[in-house]
Amino acid sequence: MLDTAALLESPALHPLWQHLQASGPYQPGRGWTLDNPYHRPTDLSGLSPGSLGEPLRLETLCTRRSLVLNRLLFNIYEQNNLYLPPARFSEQEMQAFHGYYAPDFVAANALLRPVLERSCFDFLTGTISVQGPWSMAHLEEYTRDALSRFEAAPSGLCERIRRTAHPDKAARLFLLQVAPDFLSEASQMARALPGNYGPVHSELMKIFIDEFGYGVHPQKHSTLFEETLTSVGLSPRVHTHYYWYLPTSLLMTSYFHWITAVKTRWFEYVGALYWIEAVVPHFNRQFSRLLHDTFGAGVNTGYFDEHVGIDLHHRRMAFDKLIRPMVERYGDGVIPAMVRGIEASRLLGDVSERDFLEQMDFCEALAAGGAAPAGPWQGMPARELAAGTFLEPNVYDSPHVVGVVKGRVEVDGGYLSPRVLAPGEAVVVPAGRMLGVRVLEEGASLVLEPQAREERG
Amino acid sequence: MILQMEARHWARQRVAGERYLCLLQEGELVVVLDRCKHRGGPLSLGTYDERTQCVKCPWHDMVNTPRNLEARRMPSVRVGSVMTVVVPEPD
Ligand code: FES
Ligand SMILES: [Fe+2]
Ligand SMILES: [Fe+2]
Repeated sequence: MLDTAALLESPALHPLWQHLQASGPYQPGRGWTLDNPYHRPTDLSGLSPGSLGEPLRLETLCTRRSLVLNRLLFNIYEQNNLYLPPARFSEQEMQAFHGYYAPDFVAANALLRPVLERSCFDFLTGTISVQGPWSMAHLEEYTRDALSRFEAAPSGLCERIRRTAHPDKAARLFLLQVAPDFLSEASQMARALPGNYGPVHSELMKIFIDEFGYGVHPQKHSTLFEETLTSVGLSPRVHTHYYWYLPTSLLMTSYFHWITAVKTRWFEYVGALYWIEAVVPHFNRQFSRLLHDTFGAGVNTGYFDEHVGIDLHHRRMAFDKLIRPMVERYGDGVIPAMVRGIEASRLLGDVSERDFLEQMDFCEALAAGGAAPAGPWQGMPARELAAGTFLEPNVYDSPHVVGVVKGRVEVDGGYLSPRVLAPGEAVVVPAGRMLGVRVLEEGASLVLEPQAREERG
Repeated sequence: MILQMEARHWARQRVAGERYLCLLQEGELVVVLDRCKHRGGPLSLGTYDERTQCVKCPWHDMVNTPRNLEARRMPSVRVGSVMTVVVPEPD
């Protein structure tokens, strides 16, 4: 059988890899936000085709390598999504537009997809194992129980956001983490629609027309989400905050691309879809209230309120009109894949929630003037950086000290309000956390080094 | 504007962006706006319950009762097999 991963390592394909590394869309940005959705900074410099196949594990999801692989895979899937600028193309936009969607660039990326899917999703295969004789009755009991347990507890995430010193910033950080999914809401579902697969095809279409607002643009779920972003002072421009997407937020979005793009995963998709639709009403009700309490009357919670209502229908439709008829038609043998989908989306939800909360805690520490190194750092090697130098937001695999010897730099973890460090000031990025750095004014002498072992508190 | 359609249970007529449905209610043919009370789904593609005279919408399975349908009725007059309906001007 053809193994594209092995093929990629052949010398004949080196130009393809070099082309990707040097490609315009993947080059670094120069500031905190990106100007257009066709620019997808992805640092492939530390990777080789041979290293792509090393699977991520549950414990390595919050790493720099995970971030790169997840950015890459997300960007590949998103070449299937059309984005247009809000107005006339600028020359730069036109160029970037043609760059990101160029057929040869798309084809080169597509060749990486199977190996990336293996490395990004392999841990799900190992972590989740569905065994035994599942019947429809078992599935019903199991989902009823899972859902009632989910709905019995208030959202820990909402509670944690409420308890921060800056719930507004924390809520915005959360909105940024769902933006990769919600800004193009149901595009994965759209991927599941081409073809001809019997009566359930039309049932999925019914969910889809809700997601797309019946052809009424203000009702389209992505439009509702844009309104929410705008109302809390965030830009609704597609992926302008790309840099702050955590690896697990990208992974969650890509998971639904994966199971809709790979047609043999259809039954898994139906399970995953059911679970996502099922958990939304309970969470969104609480998040909507949180937005109201945090931002007051001016906030537009339409996106979240809409889902409190319609996803009660969607979860019923997913179960009664998709799952049930398919089990009737294809037999109990398709149930384990559905259970896998339910558990995978649940696991990815938990993982991305944890990732978000840790990033939020780090941002809180930064905002409070904390995150200070435990010991002296001034002796560490420093490098001279010109004014305007931008060290892109990146995940640090081990605790790193960022200290200013001379000049001033700003650092941010996604709160969109960078903290300025003056000479003598330093912060520590914990392992697995994301931080970006920008050099202000006349340039700086900067320490950016792993925190020495003995300095750990 | 004036619309003419077949006076028959489940006759459908489309005008500009709007749809109308002729159906039996209490033994009489009436014309209703072909939109579900919930999200405007196409009632004419739903199912009619002869006993209760309700229409179940195909989108989210909500039942539109005679009461709900009453609220969507259009002024109409039937002469033999021809139904004449007064409907809003399409914009
Ligand atoms: S639109 Fe008719 S049931 Fe929802
Ligand atoms: Fe939605
Ligand atoms: Fe939905």
